[in-house]
Amino acid sequence: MGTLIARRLAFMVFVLWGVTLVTFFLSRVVPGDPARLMAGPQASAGDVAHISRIYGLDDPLLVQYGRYMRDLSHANLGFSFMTRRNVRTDIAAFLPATVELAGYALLLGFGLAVVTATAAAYRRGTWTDVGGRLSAIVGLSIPAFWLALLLQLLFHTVLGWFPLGGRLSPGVVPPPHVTGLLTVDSLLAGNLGDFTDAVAHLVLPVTTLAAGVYGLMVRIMRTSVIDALGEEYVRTAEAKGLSRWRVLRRHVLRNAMLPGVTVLGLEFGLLAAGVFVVESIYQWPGLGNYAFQAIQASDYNATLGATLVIAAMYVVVNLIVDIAYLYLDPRIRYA
Amino acid sequence: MMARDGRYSRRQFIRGAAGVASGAVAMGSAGGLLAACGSTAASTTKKAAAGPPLKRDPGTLIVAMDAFTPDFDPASYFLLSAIVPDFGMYDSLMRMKGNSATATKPWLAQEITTNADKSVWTFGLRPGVKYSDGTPFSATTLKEAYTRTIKAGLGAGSTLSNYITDPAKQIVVKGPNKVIMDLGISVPRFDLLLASQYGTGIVNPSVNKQGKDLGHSYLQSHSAGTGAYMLESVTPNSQIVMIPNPNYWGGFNGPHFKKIIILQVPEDSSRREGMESGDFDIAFASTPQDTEALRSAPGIFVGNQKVLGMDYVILGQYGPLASPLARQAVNLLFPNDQYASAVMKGTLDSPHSVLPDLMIYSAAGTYTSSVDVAKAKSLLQQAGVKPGTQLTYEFYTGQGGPAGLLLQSQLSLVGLNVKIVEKAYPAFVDDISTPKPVAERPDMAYWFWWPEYNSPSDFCFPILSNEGTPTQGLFNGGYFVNSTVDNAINKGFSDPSNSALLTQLWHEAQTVMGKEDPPWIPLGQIIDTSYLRTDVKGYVANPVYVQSYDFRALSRA
Repeated sequence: MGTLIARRLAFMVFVLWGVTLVTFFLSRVVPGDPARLMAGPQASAGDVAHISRIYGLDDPLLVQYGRYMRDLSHANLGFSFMTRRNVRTDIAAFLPATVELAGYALLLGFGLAVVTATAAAYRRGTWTDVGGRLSAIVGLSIPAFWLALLLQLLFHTVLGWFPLGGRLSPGVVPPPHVTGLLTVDSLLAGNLGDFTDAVAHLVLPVTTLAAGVYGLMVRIMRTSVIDALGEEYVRTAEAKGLSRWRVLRRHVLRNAMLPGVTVLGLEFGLLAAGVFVVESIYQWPGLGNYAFQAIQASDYNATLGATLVIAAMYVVVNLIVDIAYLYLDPRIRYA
Repeated sequence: MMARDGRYSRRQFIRGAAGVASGAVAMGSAGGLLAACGSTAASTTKKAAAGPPLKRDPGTLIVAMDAFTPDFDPASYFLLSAIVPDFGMYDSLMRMKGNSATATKPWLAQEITTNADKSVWTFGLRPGVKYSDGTPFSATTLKEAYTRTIKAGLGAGSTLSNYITDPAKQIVVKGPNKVIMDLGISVPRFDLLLASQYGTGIVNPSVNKQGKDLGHSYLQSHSAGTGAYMLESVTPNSQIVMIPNPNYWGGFNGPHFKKIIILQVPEDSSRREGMESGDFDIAFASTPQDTEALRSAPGIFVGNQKVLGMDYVILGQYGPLASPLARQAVNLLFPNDQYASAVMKGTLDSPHSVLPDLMIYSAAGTYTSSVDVAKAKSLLQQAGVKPGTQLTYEFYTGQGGPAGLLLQSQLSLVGLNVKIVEKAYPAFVDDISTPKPVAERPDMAYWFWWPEYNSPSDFCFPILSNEGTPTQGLFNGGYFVNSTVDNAINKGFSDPSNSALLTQLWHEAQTVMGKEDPPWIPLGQIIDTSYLRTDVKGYVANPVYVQSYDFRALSRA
């Protein structure tokens, strides 16, 4: 296990270096002068040049890249033209919001999918199965931006049940920062008002994001459960007189979970893309929204910083998936 | 000038992207203004009864912008996305009066006198004014603040440096509350410049001690003005919270808001929904369709004041449109009135000149909107532009697309093909403000502009002068060069006191641009269509302060 983790972490260094290389040079190739955008349209050419000098944008690209890598080795991700502060500070502020949103979306989407897929597999060919599969197709095929707008219109504007966006209502004082996850921090602070408010703000964006996860996972899990139900060890377990629940939990789901967990790791990549849209529509101050704004503003350092973090998370999540395999299927051994 | 960042309201100049304001539409408090726009006032009053319920603290004003820039440094905030909060935190010597585009009122200046030719201006400063940290405001700190803005080289110094390039010599302190500004030339309306919202905010010069960059970094998360409000907190990409400045010279004895929260709400539909549900008190305009829908929504007021801004399509003075005849022809094919009413749903007003109606020296009638296909064909033939010629039209995501589709349709009537190219905002700005070979320039491109203060020279210099082309890094993206126009622009700066001559020069320049040698298709005059709850009183839109709000003047009924 230790070797596996060490190898993956070493591998991650190369992945991240590749990400810096590609993202750094690609972002510079795209037309757009951040100094002009910062200075404003009527600023003189002299002022624009002055701002370029301040931020080293007039240096040769290789010099800029070298400086970036040197700073990166000191955990300095550079200055964001958009937020006017260090990208590391930004990421520390925005990442927990995304983790909270994506985490609950994964939990909700995966949890519901397991229940639906299992029910559909057990009642294969019935209306339960048809309903499960139909819901999966709906979840997969509805574009996130459309679902987000629809949910806002229905549950905020028409019914008034949930807030329009943001993490907390305007004017609500956030709980003291511990984890950055407002639902957790508010509970740690014993502030039920903040907790309720944070949960209310999570409902619509989490639902939007979870829909895609749910759709994919239902399809994968249903097939896996059906396959597992046909295995001899399941029949043997049933013949031994084990309860249906015990058979399901210990023999069916545990074996059916492997493909699901694999896809869950890959799903993280899709989720990272989904948060760009969902966070933008729900004014969710997370990493996706940050990256989206940064790309629009030609904010090189912010774009690069966000990309690096998302890439690192992708590698880490897949490492966790690999470790989960060991638990779910003890026969698996990594060389 | 100031472009809207990103989209219509802010867009970055950034975000850009992305603004509109109003003027004569006082909402409630000023009786005279209500009289001036009776129909609007009457309708807002009627709608107020059935407005969306207020389920939050009535003492907090919530403003939804499409984007904001967390920059609270008057030396660098040059973006609409930064102006909105900063206008509430920084004072200037003068302010525009009511909804007038030309009248100013003393603000931190209390007495203003000038010499006979108006080249030397003497200001008696308001006594008892303090910065938000309690430091007294004085003639000395004013000079230091303006010197900092001019010398910082961060963009916004260009407004003051139109006439003050050497503040050490030109700004003379004559006492604790008296300062003299020697402009060197006669500038009869220097007050208009000082009332600008761009680059004239007075910052506490003590910020110079905050780091090596004159406190610029410090001012990304702090405010240091004498304004009514001060920064409490900022969360980039999310919200800015402002609270009353305890040292404010005007006091807080009236029904003022106790907190101002500015939210970043980039999604157009979310700003509309937030207004309909009562979540927001003020919101930047959404799409023309949303604006049209909200005009009849109960309890919501939609601004309707023309401002000093223009939407237009740049016509390249190169390639197929090099000939003025070809550019005249393109103008004759664009149905401005229908575009303003049917496409833009009244969020633009038809143009009557290349200058906005409310701009000084604007000459209505120098541009007339009319569609004449036969004449356009004839002009194109004379210009040597053959049927089948392809033109490119460029716009950026979120702005200018419908005008391109309309042009494509209209130009097909004379056999011209239009290729529409959509770009991201930074790439689009790069295309119209940096030098490119002719083959890589768009023949037509959407753009908009408004001035820093009411001055046709300030408005035209970066977008129409021979010194404003992309070669100089400015926004005359069509490389328009016309000596009559250049003469008017230059005289406006160098001899602003000769109003008879300037009236004549600007009339000639507008005639040239409106008829003989068009640099653009003027799409329309920008209307501030900000959305406000009707229970928010005291809103007076000013044509110069595009999409900015005097927060202290606002209150809830």
